[in-house]
Amino acid sequence: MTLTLRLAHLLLRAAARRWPPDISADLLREWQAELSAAGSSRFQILGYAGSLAVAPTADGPSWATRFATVATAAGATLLAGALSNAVHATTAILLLPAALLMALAAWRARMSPAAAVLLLTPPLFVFLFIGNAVSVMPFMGFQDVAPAVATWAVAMLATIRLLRRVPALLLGSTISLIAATAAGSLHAAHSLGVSLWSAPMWFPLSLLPPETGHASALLLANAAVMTTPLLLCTVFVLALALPRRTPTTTRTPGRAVVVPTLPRRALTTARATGRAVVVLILGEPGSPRRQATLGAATALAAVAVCEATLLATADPTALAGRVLDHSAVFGFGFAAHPTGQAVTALLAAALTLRLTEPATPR
Amino acid sequence: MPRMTASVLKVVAALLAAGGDERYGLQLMQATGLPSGTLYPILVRLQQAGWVESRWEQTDPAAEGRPARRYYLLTADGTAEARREVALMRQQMSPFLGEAPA
Repeated sequence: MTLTLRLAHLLLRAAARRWPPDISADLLREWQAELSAAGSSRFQILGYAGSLAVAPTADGPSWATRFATVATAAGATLLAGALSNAVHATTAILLLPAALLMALAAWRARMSPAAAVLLLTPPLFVFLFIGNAVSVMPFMGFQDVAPAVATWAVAMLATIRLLRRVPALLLGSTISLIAATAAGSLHAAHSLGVSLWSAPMWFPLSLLPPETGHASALLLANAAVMTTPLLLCTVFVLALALPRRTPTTTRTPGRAVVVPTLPRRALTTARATGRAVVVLILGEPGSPRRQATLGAATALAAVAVCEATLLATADPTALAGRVLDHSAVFGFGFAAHPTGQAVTALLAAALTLRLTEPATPR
Repeated sequence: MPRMTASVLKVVAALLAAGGDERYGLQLMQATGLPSGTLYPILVRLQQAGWVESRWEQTDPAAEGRPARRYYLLTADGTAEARREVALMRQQMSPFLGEAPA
């Protein structure tokens, strides 16, 4: 059997595994029978098998759903980047609301934690690797970003696959971040002559205000740019992995109905009024008008954020001065190009639409 | 009833055009121009909806020099529904094709 046929059979087996067990064996037999007649060229044979390997199954998510999920993950990475910039540019206390926002986004994102890790990893790499329009970070090359992101992905996948309890998940995630920061800073440590014994401390130290004057200061400043987006992406994954309680609606029999107090009634009325006003302006949740308005508004906001970030990082001299005090914002370098800005706006809009669409299909 | 998309219509139209003859997957791929990844999920959905039935070719693989194929055929219900859907599509498209509606 030629290498092409061997690869085609592998693809067919992978394709059949995605189908329900009661029909997968018959489908595999059928596809294998037709593969020999599918064509004589490698392109035709691999095209036949490859199409089956990647196509949606009869009851599986469609291409549109798949695209929405990928765009949501990429949008979440951009959100992590934008929030990281806000934290670095202002105060570290903002990290808490930023983490909360990422957790809320995850709860609305509707994807498995493993899928989240796999889908967050490529855009995270792209964001860190090509995000800097002006290369102010000395250790932000392929040999720095790739080990950091790859280590994070492998360690997070192991964490969510092997651990179930909340403390274990938190510990596993922290170890993942420590390992990712260390892997991403090895090249810097080697170049700066920083001892590897201090590697486990690089992650926590990168989140703290820096001590200048040390050889490690540059290493930590460099690491800080990577660790904040990684931390926020970790929160996103953890929010999906942590067990969630489903609300119970049982009511104790015979218990009297509690009449809401006046402040509570006022709050309920205010909420209802606010909701009515929003519906009047934007339309019902999930309606085309509301979706279009939200998507367009988010896209415009994303373009505005891109422009503001580019403006903030336009002067390399001023930016270099902020590197060592960890206040340097990481540039959305790709947004300098119109295509990059359009993609950023599209991903931001896709994320918003996914997060705001009703939970049940309309 | 399966969701009627352009691809599903192509498949049922190809099976209708076969005039009651059975077709196997590759023949339907050639007739519709659909890739394998689109065609087979449609055939599964059509079978689940009862529009299409399939049977394995009764042949000796050693004598034929190839494995047995799976053949597809529209059921009686499927034929009626497919005719209705194809006619509906034709009616909807007729203003754009410059034809008089049937």
